[in-house]
Amino acid sequence: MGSPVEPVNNSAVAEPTDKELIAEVLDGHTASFEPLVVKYQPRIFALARRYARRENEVEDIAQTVFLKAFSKLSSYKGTAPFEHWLMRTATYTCYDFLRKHQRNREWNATDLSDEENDWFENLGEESHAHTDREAARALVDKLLDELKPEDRHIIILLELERKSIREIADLTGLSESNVKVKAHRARERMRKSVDRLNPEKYL
Amino acid sequence: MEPSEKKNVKESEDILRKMLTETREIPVDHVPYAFEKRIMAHIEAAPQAAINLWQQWSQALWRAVVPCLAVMILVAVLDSPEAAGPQPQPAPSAPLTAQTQTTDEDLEAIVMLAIETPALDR
Repeated sequence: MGSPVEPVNNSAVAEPTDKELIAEVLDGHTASFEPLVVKYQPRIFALARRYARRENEVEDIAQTVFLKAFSKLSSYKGTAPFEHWLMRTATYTCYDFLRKHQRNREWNATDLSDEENDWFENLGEESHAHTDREAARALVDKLLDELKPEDRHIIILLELERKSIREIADLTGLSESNVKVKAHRARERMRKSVDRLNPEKYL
Repeated sequence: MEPSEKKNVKESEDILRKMLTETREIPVDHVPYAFEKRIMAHIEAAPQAAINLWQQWSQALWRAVVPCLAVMILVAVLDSPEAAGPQPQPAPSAPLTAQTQTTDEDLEAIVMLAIETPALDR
């Protein structure tokens, strides 16, 4: 009676997987790299913004990451997800950026902007205003400026990117215990810097 | 550690934690408009540059062929025996002459010794 229901060809509408796209790129279809860039660029930008403040620096980092990933794509073995491989490349690139742009500046309470002073004044209040969070970010940047690149790298991964000690050890090549010690010391240094920056303590 | 100092440490630890929490909450994953197009333009330009490099290299090699051949021919012509002209006769070797002279003198001395030694005959 009724015609047999034909199976729907899902492959026609399904998006190609990362592995398929990578295979196409390695086969010479350069354009297949674009969907990979579109898919992962928010994550790369988010990571780069933890390391660099200026937008032109952030864009430079993101661009370097994707160009490195493209040129070394043949070294991707496919044993781990592409995202992991790409984020590892991104983390190395960000660390290189830190080493090249080492600041090591010591800040004092007198260096704070009005917004940053206000943030300290309104500590007890639960505010989620954008300006408050930007002030908090600027303060964290000041605290991070005082750390060595390696310690800063560890704190960013641990406190801002929420990576585990094991992941950080894997990314930095340090032992887990070494990461823990460095993270503890760096955090202690940041805490002391908070005391120094806090205008209430300064006055 | 004094209780007041402990309180102080805890307070600054809380401030730091709040700072980090608020920093984490800021959305940082926005991407500039058409960023992927910029990346693709770089990627498409890069292999082109490599090809151009090879082209430049091969052109330079082809240009170098004529001068290299000219130098090769010139060296070959200058090095040929005809081009070099008559060769000077080799000088007689001094050690050989000295050796010959020594042999003649030795022979003469032996003969003279044989003639002038009457004591031996007795």
